[in-house]
Amino acid sequence: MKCLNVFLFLLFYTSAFCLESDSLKSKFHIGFHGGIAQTLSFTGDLYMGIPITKKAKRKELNFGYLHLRSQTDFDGIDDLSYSSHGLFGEWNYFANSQVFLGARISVLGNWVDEASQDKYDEERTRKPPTYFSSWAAFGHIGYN
Amino acid sequence: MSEKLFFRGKLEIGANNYHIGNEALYFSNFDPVRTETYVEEKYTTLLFNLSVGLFVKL
Repeated sequence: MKCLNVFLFLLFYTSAFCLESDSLKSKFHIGFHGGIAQTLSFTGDLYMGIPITKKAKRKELNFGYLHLRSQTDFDGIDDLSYSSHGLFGEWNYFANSQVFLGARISVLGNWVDEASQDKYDEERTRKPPTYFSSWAAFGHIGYN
Repeated sequence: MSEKLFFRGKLEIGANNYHIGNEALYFSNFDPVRTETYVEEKYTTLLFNLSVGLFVKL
C-alpha cells in the first residue's frame, strides 16, 4: 500500500510537469523506474539527470535514489530477505537513437525483514542480523 | 502523449557487495549471553532487474 501511494504521488508529480509548454528547451530530465527483481519483488528508482550530446553521440549522466529487495544467506540460514535503500550515480551511452548501454554504482543501506529475523532466531542462539551496508555495481541495456 | 514524456525499458544485472553480521554488540539492548559469539560473513549477491520507466524532460 505504501508503494502504491508513492507510485500515485510520482505519477501525479510527473504529470504536472507535462503541463508545462517549453519541452523542446529541456536540458534536464527526471523520472522513475519500476520493475521486478529476480525474487519477483518490486524494484524502483527515482532519477534526475542531464543528456550530453557531443560529436552527435548522446550520453547521459544520472543520479538518484533506488530501492530493491533481495535475499541473502547468513550463518547457515538460507534466504533471509532484506530491503535496500540507496543512492546511485549512472552513466549511459546511446548506441543509436533508442538503444543504450550503461553502468551504475550505488551505496546501499539494507534492512533485514522481521520475518527473516524471526526465522534466524528460531535456528540460532545469536542475535539475528538487522542491518548492513553495501555497495553495488550494475550494468544495463535499455530501450528509450 | 506529450513531447515531454518518454518511456524507457531496461534490463539490469548487478552485484551487491557486503559484510553481514549479527546485531551489533554496541546496541543498547546488549545481551552478553546471545552476543558472546559474533558471526560476520562476506557476500556478493547477483541482482537481476527488469523495469520500465517514465521520464519527463524539463
